[in-house]
Amino acid sequence: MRFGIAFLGLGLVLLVACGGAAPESAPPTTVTPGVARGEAAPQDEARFASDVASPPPPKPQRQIDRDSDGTGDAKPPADLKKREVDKTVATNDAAGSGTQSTGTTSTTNNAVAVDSPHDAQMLIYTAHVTMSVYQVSPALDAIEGIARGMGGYLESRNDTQIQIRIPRARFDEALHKVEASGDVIHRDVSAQDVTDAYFDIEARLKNARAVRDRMQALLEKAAVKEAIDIQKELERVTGEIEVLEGKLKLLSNKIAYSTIEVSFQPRASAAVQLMPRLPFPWLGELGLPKLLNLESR
Amino acid sequence: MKTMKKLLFILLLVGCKPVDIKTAPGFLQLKEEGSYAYRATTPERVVVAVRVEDMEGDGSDDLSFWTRALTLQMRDGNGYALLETHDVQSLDGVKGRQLRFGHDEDGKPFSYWLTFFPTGKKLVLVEAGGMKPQFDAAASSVQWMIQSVRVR
Repeated sequence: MRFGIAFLGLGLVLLVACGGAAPESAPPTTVTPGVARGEAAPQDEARFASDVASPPPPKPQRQIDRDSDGTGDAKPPADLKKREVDKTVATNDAAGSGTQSTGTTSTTNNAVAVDSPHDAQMLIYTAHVTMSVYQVSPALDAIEGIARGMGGYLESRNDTQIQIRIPRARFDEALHKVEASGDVIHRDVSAQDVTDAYFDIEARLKNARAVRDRMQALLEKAAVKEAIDIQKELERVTGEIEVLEGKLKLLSNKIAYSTIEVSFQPRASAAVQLMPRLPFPWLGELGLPKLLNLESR
Repeated sequence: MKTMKKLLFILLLVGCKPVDIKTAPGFLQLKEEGSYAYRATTPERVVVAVRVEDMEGDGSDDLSFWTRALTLQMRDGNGYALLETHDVQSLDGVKGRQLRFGHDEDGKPFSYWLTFFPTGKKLVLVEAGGMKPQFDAAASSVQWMIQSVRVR
């Protein structure tokens, strides 16, 4: 009996201790520049990992939905899916071992470190391909078909240019197919590392969300006069969250979907002029316009 | 004596002519005054023309050089699609190359063949082009005309 009471008492002490820890690590009630990163609760991290794993379609999000997951139609790239799993596992591990105070960020970083260096980077791949001007319309159709057939989509198209978005994991494959659809005059492929920018926005968003939660909690208890002030601040923070969420979704989409832009035209005159010019003026007269002009010689 | 003079005059004319090409049936040779040494057309405006450019110096008979130079000009400069490349030979045995291009003009596909023979002293260029359907129909005649070229 004594042991039972002692055990129950110990359990209560532990429960209070765990419950009381949360307010100590809670973020400040106002958003200030330079707020430390990675102070959000683990559940925020897990939820946010889901947001990242489901890059949105290119449409604005009008309403903040803290618990919304997979709001986009687009499928995540394989490496982001992996990151989601890693983050979730890491978060669960941290929660289970009671090491929340070490910060989710460090745990997440450990998870990322397990990935290969290439996967740990958030890269935006972009390819610009210049093709010769021959049977352009069928080629444009073919390229659009490549995008749709590989889980991508058409972003823009006109008479001489097309821009498609391809799931990152299939970027190389798509580029090869696109290049096979015509005579490639010039190709320019770039990878932009946005890892820092991504995690910076992510951390700012976590903090803003935490601030909003605290304000909502305060609002319920506040007097009328205080409530008005809190409400104003809440609106400001909510607006900031919307902006950050928009930026993050845009960035996630750019990472998840590589861009291939194809132009059917001669190389830009500036680029051609940079090439050494041969001392044969007649070279410029070659071609169909002069050959087929039978009226004037 | 008169016959001899006529013969000499004909030989002189032939000697002055920088290049010799036969006109295929269905083509009409045009009187040229511009940069073309020869030009002929079908009623459907499939045109075959010859240019002769004087060249001097070492390497002017380098087939690879002219292949690269003409390809750069047509593809990078003019946006033509290089579809095929063939080694050819003039009727008098000079080695040359044929670059077959495709190009859209006003959204319609055209064919353009550029055949060249570098002799060392001159570069003979045979251009042939037209709308793709019409050119395809006349392709064998165009090929016959190109094969009839004598550059020396």
